[in-house]
Amino acid sequence: MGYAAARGGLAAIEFAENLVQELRDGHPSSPLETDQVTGRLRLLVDRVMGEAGLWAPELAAQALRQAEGDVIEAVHLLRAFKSTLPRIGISEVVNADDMIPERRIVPAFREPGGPQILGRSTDYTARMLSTTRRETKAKVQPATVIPADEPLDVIPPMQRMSDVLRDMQLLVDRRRTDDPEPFDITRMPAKPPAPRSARLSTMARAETGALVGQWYRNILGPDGYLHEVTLGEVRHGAMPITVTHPVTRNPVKIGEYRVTEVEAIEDLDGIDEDRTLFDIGYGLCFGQNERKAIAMANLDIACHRDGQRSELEQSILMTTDGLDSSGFLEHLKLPHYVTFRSMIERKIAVRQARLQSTPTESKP
Amino acid sequence: MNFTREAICEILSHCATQDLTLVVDKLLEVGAVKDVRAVRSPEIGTVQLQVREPICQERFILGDALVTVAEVAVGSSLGWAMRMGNDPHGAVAAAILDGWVAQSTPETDAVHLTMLEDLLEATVLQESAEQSLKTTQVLSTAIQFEELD
Repeated sequence: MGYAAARGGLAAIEFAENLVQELRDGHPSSPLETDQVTGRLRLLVDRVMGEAGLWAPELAAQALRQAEGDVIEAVHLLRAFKSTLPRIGISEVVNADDMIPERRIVPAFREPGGPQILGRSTDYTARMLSTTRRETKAKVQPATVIPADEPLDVIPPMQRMSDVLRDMQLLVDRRRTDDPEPFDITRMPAKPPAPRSARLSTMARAETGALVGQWYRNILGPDGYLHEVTLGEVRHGAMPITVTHPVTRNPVKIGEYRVTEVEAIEDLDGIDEDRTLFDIGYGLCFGQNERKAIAMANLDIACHRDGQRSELEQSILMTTDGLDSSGFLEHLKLPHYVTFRSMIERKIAVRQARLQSTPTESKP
Repeated sequence: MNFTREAICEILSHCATQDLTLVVDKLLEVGAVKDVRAVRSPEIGTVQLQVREPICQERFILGDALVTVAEVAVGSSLGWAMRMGNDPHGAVAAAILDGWVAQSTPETDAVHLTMLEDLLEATVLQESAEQSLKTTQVLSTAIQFEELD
């Protein structure tokens, strides 16, 4: 690569940056406050935090504002900031069942253990562009489906679909008895063959569009590692952050973060698989981002079934990070004068060599 | 005091920063809290979040959370606090209260401990009310689909 062999233009570069700042911050509209971004563009903030791998709503909002709404740029700003911070500690390991659900859908079963809850969602409604500012709709009395003897201020227990299938003896038992240290993709890049913890971390931090693209290639496109997809659980809720008090050595909950969790059920039909059983893939990511968690769960089980026979794992590990792919793509905008001049010189040299080796045609 | 030290730490980590600093300032003003020294200046950093997933019961790293941590000495007691986000003032105030509670006794500090207890109870009540409202809202969207023949 020859893009490093260029210099100069510092004044123009500074002016260009100032232009961005002045036109953004000097816009005649009301200044965009951080709480407006976190409160009104919640899903965008969630996505930036997920792809940056850092739960920090205010910083993510600031990054989005600075990046003029460019998600990848905001992710870059947040991840770069994160890289300057010390890692102060490691949370107590939280169990996925510790989530306090705010939404729970079970597409596989009409009556799973516990209620199905739509939560904050526009699913099942016609979404039309609203061109006028709407007043809050009058409250509609909900048709309560929670049994009358259940208190309405406590979320009833929910048996997850994987446990339902386990109880029915219809699920491959892949529960581990050991407890390997999880792979940390922020300390070392994951390369195939990688432990499953590396794949899960990579997908949790992947660019949403890239992961959905991978999923789509596999379900309808040329890759074809996915079929017969049924979702067991789609949940959104709050997980606790618990750390150890350094004096008492006892756990202390210091806060919460929101996640989306998905279980994707696979109908096993391979010649080397037990066709009387199902298997399940798992997805979990920051915030409310169901597209990403669904794609992740499907690709998790696809990777497991593939058993590193193909390039699927490599594709997930090496091509779904938004900063990696966008960074490589955007570097093409940097001056490549040296490499391109050498390409031109090679062309000219080849042409001259060809001319010299071609016998001169005799004139009549 | 009806709260364990861990419960106090947990509630203090959720209290509004200005409420915390208000209580600490008052306690310093009346001399109830004294001999405070910084052991670890407030530091902004991350806590790694590990989750155990339910299919293989494997741990994996979901990401990190932004936190601020502070440690102080109050007399001979070590006070510690960790708060979500970038909040050095809140972390120092919470650490002071943690250290002060560790060395206070109901006999010597009853009046001032009540001040802290009021803050803790108000925070618990407010959080409980917010959670209750949220749960009621969420449960009002419970749904049972009907199968069509």
